[in-house]
Amino acid sequence: MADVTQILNAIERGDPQAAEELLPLVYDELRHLAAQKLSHEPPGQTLQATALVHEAYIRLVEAENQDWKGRAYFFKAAAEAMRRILVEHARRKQSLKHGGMNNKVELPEIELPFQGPSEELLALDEALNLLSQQNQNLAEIIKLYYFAGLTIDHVAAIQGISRLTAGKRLVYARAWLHRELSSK
Amino acid sequence: MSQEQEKIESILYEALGKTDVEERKAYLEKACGTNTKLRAEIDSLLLAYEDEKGILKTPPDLLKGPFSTPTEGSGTVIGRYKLLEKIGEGGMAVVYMAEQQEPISRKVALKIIKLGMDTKQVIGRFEAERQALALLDHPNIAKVLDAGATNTGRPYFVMELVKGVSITEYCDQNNLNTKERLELFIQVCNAVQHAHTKGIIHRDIKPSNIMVTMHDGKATVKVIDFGIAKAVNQRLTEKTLFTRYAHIIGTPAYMSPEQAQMSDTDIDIRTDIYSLGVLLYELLTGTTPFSEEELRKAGYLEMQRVIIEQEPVKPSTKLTTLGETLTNIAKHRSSTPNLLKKTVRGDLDWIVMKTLEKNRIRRYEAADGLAHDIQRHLEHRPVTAHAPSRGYRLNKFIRRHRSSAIAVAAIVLIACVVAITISIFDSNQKSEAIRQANILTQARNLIGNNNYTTARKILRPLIKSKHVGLEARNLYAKTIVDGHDPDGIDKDIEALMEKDYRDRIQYYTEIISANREDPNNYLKRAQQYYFLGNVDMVNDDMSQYASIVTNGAFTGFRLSMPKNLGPVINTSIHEPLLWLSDDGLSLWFQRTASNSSSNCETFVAKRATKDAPWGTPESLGIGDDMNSKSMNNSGITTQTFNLNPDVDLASIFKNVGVVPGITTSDGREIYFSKYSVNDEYASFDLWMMRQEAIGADWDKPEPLESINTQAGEVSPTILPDGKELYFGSTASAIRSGSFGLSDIWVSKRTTDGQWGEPKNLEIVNTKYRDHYPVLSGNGLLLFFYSDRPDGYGQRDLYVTKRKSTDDDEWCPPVNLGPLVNCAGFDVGVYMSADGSTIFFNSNRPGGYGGQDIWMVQILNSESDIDPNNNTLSIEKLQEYFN
Repeated sequence: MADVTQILNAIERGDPQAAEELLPLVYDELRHLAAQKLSHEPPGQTLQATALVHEAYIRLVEAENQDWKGRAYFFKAAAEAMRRILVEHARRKQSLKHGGMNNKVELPEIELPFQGPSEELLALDEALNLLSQQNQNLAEIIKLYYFAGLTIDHVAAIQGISRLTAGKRLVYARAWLHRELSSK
Repeated sequence: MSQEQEKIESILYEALGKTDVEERKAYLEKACGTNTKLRAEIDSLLLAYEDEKGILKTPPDLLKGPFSTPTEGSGTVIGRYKLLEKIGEGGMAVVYMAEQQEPISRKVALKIIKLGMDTKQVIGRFEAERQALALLDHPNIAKVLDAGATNTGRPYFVMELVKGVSITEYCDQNNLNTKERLELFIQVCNAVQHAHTKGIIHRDIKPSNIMVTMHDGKATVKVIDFGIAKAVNQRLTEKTLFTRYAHIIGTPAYMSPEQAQMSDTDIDIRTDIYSLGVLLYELLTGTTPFSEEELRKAGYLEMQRVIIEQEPVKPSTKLTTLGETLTNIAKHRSSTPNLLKKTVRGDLDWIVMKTLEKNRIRRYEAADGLAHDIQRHLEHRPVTAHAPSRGYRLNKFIRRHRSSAIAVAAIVLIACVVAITISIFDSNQKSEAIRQANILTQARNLIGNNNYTTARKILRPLIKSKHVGLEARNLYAKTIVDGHDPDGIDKDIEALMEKDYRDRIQYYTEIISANREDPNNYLKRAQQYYFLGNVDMVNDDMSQYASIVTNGAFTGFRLSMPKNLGPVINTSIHEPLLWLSDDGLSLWFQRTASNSSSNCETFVAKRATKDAPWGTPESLGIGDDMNSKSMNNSGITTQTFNLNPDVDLASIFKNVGVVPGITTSDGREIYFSKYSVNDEYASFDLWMMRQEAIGADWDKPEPLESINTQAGEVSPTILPDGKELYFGSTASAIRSGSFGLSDIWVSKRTTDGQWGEPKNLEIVNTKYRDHYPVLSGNGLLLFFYSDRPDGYGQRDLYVTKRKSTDDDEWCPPVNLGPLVNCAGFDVGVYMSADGSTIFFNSNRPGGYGGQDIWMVQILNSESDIDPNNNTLSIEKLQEYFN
């Protein structure tokens, strides 16, 4: 199993493919962790997304004293991975509903700053793609803040900007997305 | 972000801050003026943002618009306390000096979890700490006064503000003599004892956690920061646990052997005793048993070993090794060097050594016991700690030297070919060998710290040693190469090293004569010839090797010595190579520091003729960090050049012309890889762009949908007639037929111009990483890198060949050899269109830092490897051989 620390170090050293290898690993770990945690929690419990991401970080990366610059790759990959996981869950939920299964299936709920039905999550995902094409930074800030559940200061550190700039971007991105969603 | 977008962003933000309807309206009118489009945009965004029912919850830490509370700084109010200034910081939390007004006015210390660390886990630990502290009530322990949580849920607690300095500082500042220091130390013991009786282990006793303050005119010790709560997540792996400890505890010099052992379940109060011992050691001698710096630099494994195995020297002995600094240290103890040694020798030595016992059973059972012994010493009464027995001392001696024995054994393993037999006939020889081995360890540490000159100094006497000479010479050579310092070498050493190489060559020659068919031996011998600088012999061996590997199909390249392109191109950061223009006069490459917030910038450097020097590179634009990470041929990735919206791919590639392997031969199609986001996934994908004619505008990029998958696809390389496309992909689980962590694939164009299903290039792929293919101009050679284990380094460049472009049969791949491949990363590669030169990326020694661009000339005259089917002229050949 490839070592995430090595990959992060490799990115540092100029290894061309390291960045490609990072995402699937983080994705796997987060899914695994989420499933594991949820199987231990009583049903109806929610998972804190931030906790997941941080725990994945601690499990995968060995050098805790990496500064924020070094962690950024990981958290960006984690945010994207969380997005994938959530969208998958939302899709599954949808298909279950339509499949006519009447018994309540306990599907994992991950505590995130979202509200509303899960179909909306799918619409959000699409809107996010649209936003990505327009402005990658805005899309990324939404991923980091909402999907990975990181705080605004974390997000600012990861993107290498001031807290104020991060806040402005977040506001803009959120407004943009909501507008996009309500126009559909 | 475009200027317009930035404007929108700013106005939106400002407007949100104005909650008063009239105020906002006025602001908007002013800000947008007559620009009705802008106003409409802002209005719609405002409406969307303030819709409380939208799927994205309103960010609570932003509240309604502008962030009224900046990062905690002076003036922030938390509960009853107003923060004044930050006085400390740890892994989990920050400590502020704060002011309390109600019910009494006083200054306190407020410890709060760091922003962003407020996960359930951390909060749990924090809470445990708080509860533990609430139990403690002792004049030498800082009291917990209050606890709470911010309105965003971050827990904090409030402690007695200790105004003072750390104990070591206090003692030094006031030149306290040994007796006075011991009296303070007893106070520390009392505090620790109190905590122990309440069942609380401190786990992080170190000078910065032990303050001295004046209380009623008397110097009083206050132990702060019982910071390590016991709640530890059991699901963590051992390694992580250790790392967490190293991080949380953060003071290797004070770490007890059982803490260094990584097992959390075993820590008891005797861990604190050990740390008290280290503190006592420092108070008496001014140093710790193992230097903090050395431990940190040595890396976790070595640090562990030292703490667990290595016996520290007695305090009085340590004093004698301190040289000049001893005078200073004695001064801070109101004493002289000799007097100080005398004071520390004897009882105090034994007391300290007893607390530092590796085997905790032999330590003091309680802080009380330690305090009492010190008291007895102060009163000149006999102490319980005493000089250990003879048998005990012998065991210790063996333990002390065990590590040297390990070092010697390691050398035996390292010695590549010429076996070093340390014949230990008598104890003199043995101790000499051990002494020399220790010097080697020192040298390795120095090299690790880039202290090459000193390393050379201590290695020099060992160069001819029969015990360690070979390894000493190897290390010496390393200092020359890593230190970029050819002056460090002298004729004697050079001669000796040459002899080493020749010895090895002889060795391999013997093996080869016994087994001519094993290609690996030629590879190894070639490397020794390379060290000797004998290019011809290197090439001979590489030809033999290639011939065997490919069954005679390909004898590889005869190459020249590698040459760095120089400081005009190469800098201390990475220069990923892209390609050369068809005429060989333009070099395209990137520069990136590969740090998260640095950018990937694309450059073009030009030269007047193929022999002229490269001109100053011109920048074509900067990409976004994470998205620009495909750092190899055809690997410009950028979602958009966000920082500079006016630069886009079409413009970067505008004048690229015809690039063999990257564009079709009419230059109308260009292939590249880019980090892409779509409905189903986000990863690197292959794209292409078309243009009507060379130099015209490029059409919008199109993804190669029949090829792209959730896995990453990178480094597309195409035949001149556009019929075949090779690429690399990481993705074993997704593509069936994969071999390893990454593989090379080929897709052929179907009759309707689409790309067919990719096939795995099986002859080339292994279960390791085989990646980043690049075709030569005529499509008969395919270069790629691999980390398969029979190469020279972490990534080596390989090449494979076929007879014609209609042929699917590529020969088994051939390593390019030591003239290209080094022990590190040799990755990007591009062969010039005229087939004369191979450019490549490497971090081989002798560069300017990071991945540099190097080149080798191809010396072969055989036309079968000439990619353009032009034979090299006789003049050219003569040029190379002169």
